[in-house]
This record gives sequence, C-alpha cells and structure tokens, in this order.
Amino acid sequence: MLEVKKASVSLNGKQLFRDLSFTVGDGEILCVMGPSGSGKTTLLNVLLGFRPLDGGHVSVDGELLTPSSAEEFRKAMAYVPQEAALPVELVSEMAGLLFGLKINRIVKFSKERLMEEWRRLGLDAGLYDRRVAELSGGEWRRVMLSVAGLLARPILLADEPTSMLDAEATALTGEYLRRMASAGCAIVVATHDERLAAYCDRRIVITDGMCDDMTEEG
Amino acid sequence: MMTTDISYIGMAVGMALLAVPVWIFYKLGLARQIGSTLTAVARMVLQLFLTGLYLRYLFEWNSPWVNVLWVLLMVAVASFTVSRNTRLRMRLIVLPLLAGLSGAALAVGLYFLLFVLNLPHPFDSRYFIPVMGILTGNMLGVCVMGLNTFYDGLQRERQFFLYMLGNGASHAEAIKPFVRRAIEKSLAPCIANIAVMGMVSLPETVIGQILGGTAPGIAVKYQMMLAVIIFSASMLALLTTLFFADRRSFDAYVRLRDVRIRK
Repeated sequence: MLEVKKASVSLNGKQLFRDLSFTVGDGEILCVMGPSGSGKTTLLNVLLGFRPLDGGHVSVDGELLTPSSAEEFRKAMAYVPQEAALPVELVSEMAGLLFGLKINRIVKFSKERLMEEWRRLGLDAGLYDRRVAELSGGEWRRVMLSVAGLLARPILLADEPTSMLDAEATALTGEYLRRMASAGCAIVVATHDERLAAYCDRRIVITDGMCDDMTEEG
Repeated sequence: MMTTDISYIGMAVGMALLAVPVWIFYKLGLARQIGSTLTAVARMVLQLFLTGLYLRYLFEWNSPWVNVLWVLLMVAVASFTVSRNTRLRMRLIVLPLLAGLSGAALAVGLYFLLFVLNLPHPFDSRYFIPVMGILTGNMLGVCVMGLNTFYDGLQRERQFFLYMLGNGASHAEAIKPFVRRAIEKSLAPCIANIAVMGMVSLPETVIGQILGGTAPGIAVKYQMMLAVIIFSASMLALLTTLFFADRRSFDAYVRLRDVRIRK
C-alpha cells in the first residue's frame, strides 16, 4: 500500500499542495487531477523519490520513503512519463529498453506478450518495426504503458497517459488500467482527463495548493 | 647521427614565413586574425622557450621525485584547463580530474616504460617527462569532449534518465547510456587518427624523432606504442574522472546539481 501523509511541496516560493494525505491500496486506482502547473507531476516525482517534501512523508507498505531507500522502493514501481526523449531509433528498441536492467532479468521480454498488451490498448502490431519518431503522441504513451504492463510491478505511476487520445483509445486505456488493478497493482494516475477519471476508484483534485478528495462526488 | 641545430638566424628566417599568412589576412580584411596569430606565436615562443629551459634543468637533475612532482603539476594545470574549457565548476570537477589524469598517466605511462621499453629506471627524465607530457596533453582533449558530452546529455535528456530510474534502474544503470556516449564521442577522433596514421598523416613524433637522428624503423615503432598508450590512457582517464565526478554531480534526490558556470 502506498501512503502519503500531510505532504506539502512548494516550488519557487509557490505552494503547490499542502497537507495532502491519501492511501492507494493494492488493486486501487487513484486519479490526481488539477489544472496545469497545479503539482500533479510534482506529486508523482515525490512518490518516485525525485523530489523532497517540505513536510509530511510517503511510505510504501509501512516503510518510509527516504533518499537512501528510494532506489530500492523504485524496484517495485513502474513509471510512465508524459514525455521523454529516448535514445533509441526503433519502437522495438523502445519496448525492450527496460528489459536490460538487472531488476528485470527475471521478466523476460516477449514480443508475443507485448503484442497481446498492444491488442488490449488498440495498438497496431505493425508499429513494432517503425521508427519512434513516426509514432503519434498517443501511440507513444500507449507503447510506454504496455511496457509498464509487461513489467507487472506492484505500483504504477502514470503521468497523463491519455493525453492526445481519442475517446475509443482513452476507453481502452482506462480498461487496461482496470485490468492491471485487478491483478493487484496500486495505480496513481495524474490526468486532466475526466473520461479517464471515470475508470478510477478515487480522485483527488489539487487547486491553488489545496487538495480535495472528490471520491464521493466522482 | 647528430641533429642539425637551428641557428637564431635560421629561426628568424623560418618566422619570416609568417609574413605570408599575415599579408593574406591583411588583404582579406581579417585584422582580428592578424592580432590573434601574432599573439599565439608570441605565446608559443615564450612557452617553448620556458619549456626548453625547465626541461634542461629537469634532465640535469634527473631526480625521480622532482620528475613526479613535475608531472603532478602538469596534471593540475591540465585539470584547471579542462574545468575552464567545459565551464564545469572547479569544486565539482578538479579533484575527479586530478585522480583521473594522474592515475591514468602514471598507470599507463609506467606500464610502457617498465614493460615495453624495459627501462631499469622508469623515472629517468629523458623518458618519463616526454611520455607523461604526451599522455597528459592528449588526455586533456578527450576529457574536455567526454565531460561536455556527458553533462550535455544529462541536462538535455533528464526525462530519459528519470524514466530509467523510475522503472527500477540503479544509478549506475541509468547513467550508463550517458557514459557510453561520452566515451564513444570523445574517442572517435582518436580511433580515426589511429586508422589513417602513416597514410594520411605522418605524426609529429615520428618526424621529430627522424629529424633528431632516430632510424625511421625505430621512430614508427615508438609511434605505434604511443598511439596505443594515448588511446588507453585517455579512456582510463575519462572513465575515472566520470566515476568520481558522477558521485558529486547529483543530490540525494538524483537531481543534477548546478554543475556548470553560466556564461
């Protein structure tokens, strides 16, 4: 279980959020919403141990996330960024990038399994041999999400996974996340997208440094 | 075979050749280039005059301790030069560079002097000083290019670095693509140079040795060995420097520190 308690972060003197508390249990999807610049990506960075908190703490299964423990904690996480320039040319290389890591030696990369994930996400198998530069933003994000699906880590953090997706692809992504959750994954999704929020169990909204749990209303 | 000395009149006649490029600069309206050429030549004359002077004393004393101290001084100057050329903060980069350059120069240089030349006294000025000098000079260029590539990559592709870390990569794994690229890019000119050596270019070392009276066969053997030790030492120096610099370049939250001095 991922727990955030009384977390506060400010950036360049501006309070992004204050006293933010939530828990995400195994099999749950939490949606973090809010306008651009409200601190959604910053919150994901805090959960990854990439940013300090001004106050409060983050824990995973009761153990505190600290700079010295963060690397170990991240071994239980999969992370899908909103964008990243990857130093690879082909989509096949992009999909296999994480499978050379020591932590993933037990998870063998399988093209067949990847194609299965792509089918669920509505991606064309022909993309596999294409160049990364030829992918649309939406395809790129779904390829990244499919890799996270293959890794099958206990925690998934995804930043705007449905940005630039049409309604059908968004629905497929939402169902994909639900499927991962039903396998026991605790998921935190930062998004603007109300359509995706409909697939989440709970939602919090960050506005002007204040956080509201909108789960009841959702 | 005795080396033919160059008289002062001969030196002046040689320097007179500079009148040709200076005249061309003048005709092309490149006044700034005239100034920089003359300044560069004046600096070279002064520096080489001093080099001749200190080498004479180093060769006369022939003391291992003085020679090692001299090499450490060269390495220190090289470290500050790399720091200035890369605009990397001195407090971050100078100690890693001192470790990288001195470690690589001494390890590879002594290997060459002891096991290739089989010298009974490897710290003999005649061999130790020139070999360490040529290694330090060449490692400097490789380190400038390698460090620039490494830090430019980390600054430009931070999201990729975080993607790898965020998916369970260790720090060493996340940094590896940047180290690989730094090595690849900085050593590419060295490899290209080795590949055409003797065909496209005749290295100055060979020319110097032949002019100094060495048989061409011996001169080219020295050149082959020098090419190999320069290449090996450069890679070792860059890797060691990156290893120590990397540890100082990130804060506890794997954020790249403010490593560069802004223009």
